[in-house]
Amino acid sequence: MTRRSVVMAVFCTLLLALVVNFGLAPSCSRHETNDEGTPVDTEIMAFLSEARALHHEANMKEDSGDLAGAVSAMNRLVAARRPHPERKAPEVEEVLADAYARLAELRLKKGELDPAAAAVKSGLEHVAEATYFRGHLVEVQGLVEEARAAQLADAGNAAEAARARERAIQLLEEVVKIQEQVIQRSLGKDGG
Amino acid sequence: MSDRDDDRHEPDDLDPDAPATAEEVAASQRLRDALEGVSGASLDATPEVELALSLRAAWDPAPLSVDESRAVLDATPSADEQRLAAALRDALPRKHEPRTGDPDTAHLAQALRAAFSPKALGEAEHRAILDAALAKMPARVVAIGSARTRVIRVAFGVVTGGLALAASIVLVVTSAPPHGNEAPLAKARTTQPLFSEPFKPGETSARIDRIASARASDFRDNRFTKWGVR
Repeated sequence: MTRRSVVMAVFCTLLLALVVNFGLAPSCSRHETNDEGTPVDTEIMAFLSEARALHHEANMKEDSGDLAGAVSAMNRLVAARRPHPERKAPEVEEVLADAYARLAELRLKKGELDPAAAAVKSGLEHVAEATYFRGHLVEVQGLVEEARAAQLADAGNAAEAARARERAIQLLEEVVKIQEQVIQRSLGKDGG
Repeated sequence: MSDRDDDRHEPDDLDPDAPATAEEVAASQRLRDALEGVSGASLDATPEVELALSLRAAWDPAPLSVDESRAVLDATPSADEQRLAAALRDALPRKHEPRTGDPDTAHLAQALRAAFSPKALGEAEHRAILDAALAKMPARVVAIGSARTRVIRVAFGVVTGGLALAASIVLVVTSAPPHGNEAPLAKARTTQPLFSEPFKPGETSARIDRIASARASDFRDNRFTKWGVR
């Protein structure tokens, strides 16, 4: 046995120890991170509290007729620092989708149809599955297209108005499908 | 002045005509006896007596006795001793090893000096010592020693690796959190079950109220679980 083979034997033994160590470590330290979802923690609660405060601030602004102030509050919410950016928390994503929906509604009230549509588009990125949140966003999107059809009709652009109305009907039909899926899934869970 | 002061007697040391005291007479007698060689007079010789005897010996020395003469001769080195001393004196300043003809005392002195302040071995001297030592070792013994060394290295490597493996396992197992009996934590999840019907316009803040309230309850439960209260 040469000196090189001796060194290789020692090296392989140490390498084996390391490999076994790394193999055991994840199984022994599996605690929270490998379970589904992040535990509800301080960061998530802080974000929810901030969202709640900004929603109520937007309420007061909206009640007083300050739509721009309400829009500003919602813009702050959708731009707020999000907890656990590496692992999306469903609550956070849904609250953001709802905030974008409200932002779209406020824009719609102000007659700002394109910003409203943009807010809906941003909100849909946070809810891919069929949920009340996605349904609500699509519903607002349908309302935006309905308002657009009315604007175009008032402007004498009958053809574009008809196309906008058609898009609105399609979106509202999609809302119906989404909500039916949600209800069906909810009933299935209750029954099962 | 009182009568008591008049009765006090003090010697007058300054008076040269004062009569000798008994002590002075006795000291004078002892000195006379010592100088005249009275037997036993020099046994309790005082410094004054010793001084007087030395002065007389210098002035009028007496012949040596036989014993005294022999003692002087014994203290004088012989010619042979003087030759050995000269040889040692000549050998000590030399830095190299004592020569064959040098006395034993020169070898002993050289050994003592090497032990107290050894000098560095020369290259040739070092090589000579190694060659002499290796020449006495049989070739077969060298081969067996080499093989044994390799076996020891392999065994050391295997034992070290095994210990590292065992230590890593112990470390991982003991550092793992004890979560077997721990209640599960409430995880982040969809809030859909909180709502039983599609959303209506203008109820957004009511929804966030419900979401925040529900998750606040989960958050409290998680904290209690982590504290081990539940």
